[in-house]
Amino acid sequence: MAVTDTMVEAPPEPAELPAAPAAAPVEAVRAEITAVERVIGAVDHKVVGRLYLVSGALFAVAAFTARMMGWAGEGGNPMLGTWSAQVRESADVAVILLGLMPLIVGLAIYVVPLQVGARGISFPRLVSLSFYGWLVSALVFAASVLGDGGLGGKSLEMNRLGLFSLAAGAGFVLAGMIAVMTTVLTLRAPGMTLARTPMFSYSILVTGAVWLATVPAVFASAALAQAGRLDAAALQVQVVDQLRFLGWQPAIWMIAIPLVGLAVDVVPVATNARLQQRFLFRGLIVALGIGAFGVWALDLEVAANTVVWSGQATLALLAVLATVGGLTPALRRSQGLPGIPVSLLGVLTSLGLALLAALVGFAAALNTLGGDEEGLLGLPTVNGLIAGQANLVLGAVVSGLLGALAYWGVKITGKPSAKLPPAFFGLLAALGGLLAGAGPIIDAVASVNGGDGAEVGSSALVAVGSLVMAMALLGAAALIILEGRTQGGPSDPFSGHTLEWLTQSPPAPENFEGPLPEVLSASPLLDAREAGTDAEGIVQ
Amino acid sequence: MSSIPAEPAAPVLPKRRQSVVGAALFAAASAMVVVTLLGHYMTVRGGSDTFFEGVSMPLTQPNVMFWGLGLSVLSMQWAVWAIARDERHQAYWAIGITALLGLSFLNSTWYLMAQSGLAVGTQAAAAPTFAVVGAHVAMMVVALGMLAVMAFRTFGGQFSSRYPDGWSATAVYWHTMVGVFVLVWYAVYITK
Repeated sequence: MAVTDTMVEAPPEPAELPAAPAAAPVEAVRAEITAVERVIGAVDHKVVGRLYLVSGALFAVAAFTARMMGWAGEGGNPMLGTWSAQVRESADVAVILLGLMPLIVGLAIYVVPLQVGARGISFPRLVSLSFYGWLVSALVFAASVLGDGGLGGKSLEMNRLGLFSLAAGAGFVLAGMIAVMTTVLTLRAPGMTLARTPMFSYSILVTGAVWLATVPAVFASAALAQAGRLDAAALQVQVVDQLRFLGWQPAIWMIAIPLVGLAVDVVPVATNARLQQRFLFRGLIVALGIGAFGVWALDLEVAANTVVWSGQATLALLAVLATVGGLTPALRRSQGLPGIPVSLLGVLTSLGLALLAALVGFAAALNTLGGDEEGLLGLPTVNGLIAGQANLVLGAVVSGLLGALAYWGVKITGKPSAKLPPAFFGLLAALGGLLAGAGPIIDAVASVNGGDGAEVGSSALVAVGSLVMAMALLGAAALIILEGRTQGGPSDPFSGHTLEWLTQSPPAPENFEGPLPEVLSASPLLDAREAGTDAEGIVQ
Repeated sequence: MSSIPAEPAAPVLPKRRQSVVGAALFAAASAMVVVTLLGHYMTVRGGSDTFFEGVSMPLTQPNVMFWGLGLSVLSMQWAVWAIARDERHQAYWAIGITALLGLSFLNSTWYLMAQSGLAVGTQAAAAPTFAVVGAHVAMMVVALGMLAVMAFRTFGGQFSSRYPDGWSATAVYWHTMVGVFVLVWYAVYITK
């Protein structure tokens, strides 16, 4: 054989792999884990989301109840004495930062991975840490309020503890939101572009962006208080003033952005219509996000007299108004309300309340055109319209969240929600928001052109409205707890359009069994139904 | 013929870009804390004629810190580049230099604040300046912590051209932190 010849050898036989040791059956391993360990050690987004929802609702009940006590009685609740103002200030901020924001995050943690077709959530251990961190922070904050601290208390140590726990709680909630945002950005199903992402998930992405820009102000406030070594009196003035912006236009809208996404997801399903002009609704969600950027408006007296503040109020009004207008044709075309009237009721009520809030905010913006003392409407720059608008937004958010729970409740509990209770609680929350909003607005109307106002009645209405919202949330939390969690619920009772309705109720640990089909539109399940196939493309 | 030894199946890697996106969002939130404090600082400074009275704030250290962090951007990116090409030896050098520049920044800041004469309670500038500088230092500490964790994992054999995301994520946070320092450098040290 010549040296240039190449000797061809048969490729080596692949080595025999040693047999893998028999894996312990999953069931056997699971059986060793106690129920407590299963809950505390859970990294499944559905378990953590459910924990967040129930605990968030209960904390929001406590915060709204404290708000009721703080607002009851002019110049101080006789039951609370001098403690009244501190409870009011603490509850006003805690309702948003430690009550409703965790509820929104809990819902997002549960629903968003299902909507985008993910097998789980990004950073599951961070999500778990987010829940437990928020829970401990919220409890510490509540303890600090009881110890004459919180926000605006007289005890320096308890004030510091309150501020620190508030900042920590907000940070943990933000961490959960970051995980949800990362899920939307990186774990979408094959073929699901951002344009095909379900609207609720898209709105959560925008909400998260606004929170990222807003919540750090709470940290900044805590850092300033610490750096300045403020005493209790200075903390009362400075910190409370700095954090009030969270409850006023424009920042108050940051908790209402998901309402738009929710409505745009629910209405087409309820009316059995395909959503048209999705880009328009995406634009409206972004517009509301821009209208909600409020970290620059820490000093309302100054901010409210700027063009930006008025512009944001106008933008928020246009966004909500256009959303209502854009969804109206679908509602008109529908033959009655065939699909999911219960959740639709909650969603439409919350959208209506949000529209009312936007109109009131626009009126407050119009008033600033006339100057500081006597505005165009005969009111000073900071007036009851702004506080009334905030209360209306709170009502809209609670009502919308209850509507969302009625819609996705079957995915959470495995049981289709009984129709009456969720509808009742949603309407109750809306009524609470309306009452709480009406109080300051009546006060504003009575203050026009130097009028005496109606402070006593206004505070009483805020108190009653807060109590009603607390009752609605308590009812919803009780429903989730009492309904428990059973397997084998209907996977798609409403003929949904998006991927969360493709999986069983409640979903399996990995969310979806088998590979997902490529997503070719924003309504993959509706496409499949119209083509007479199932979601995998199999002709039925 | 000898048989090829069987290799275990490659581990399932996390989905790409998750850590990078998460780090970018975290970096944005951290940056917002400093930017918010900076806004407060500018407001207080703008409303006071005696803001920096009795304060000594030379430019030497801030400028050295500025150029030092500028270099650290390069060395951090060097680490990312090296890991993505499995040049582990170079990566170790890059990590070490980045850590050194970060620690020297902390040292310079400490020295600058100590000799500035700022005292809380007696000077208007003290609390806002400490808050801004302290928040940025906190960002640097977080960035160094991320660097340390990634370095230990790299020394332990993790991260390679197959999965360099941990380093990309650290770099995103590091670069944001340096970008925020540019704002602090200009607003607090240069235009004082």
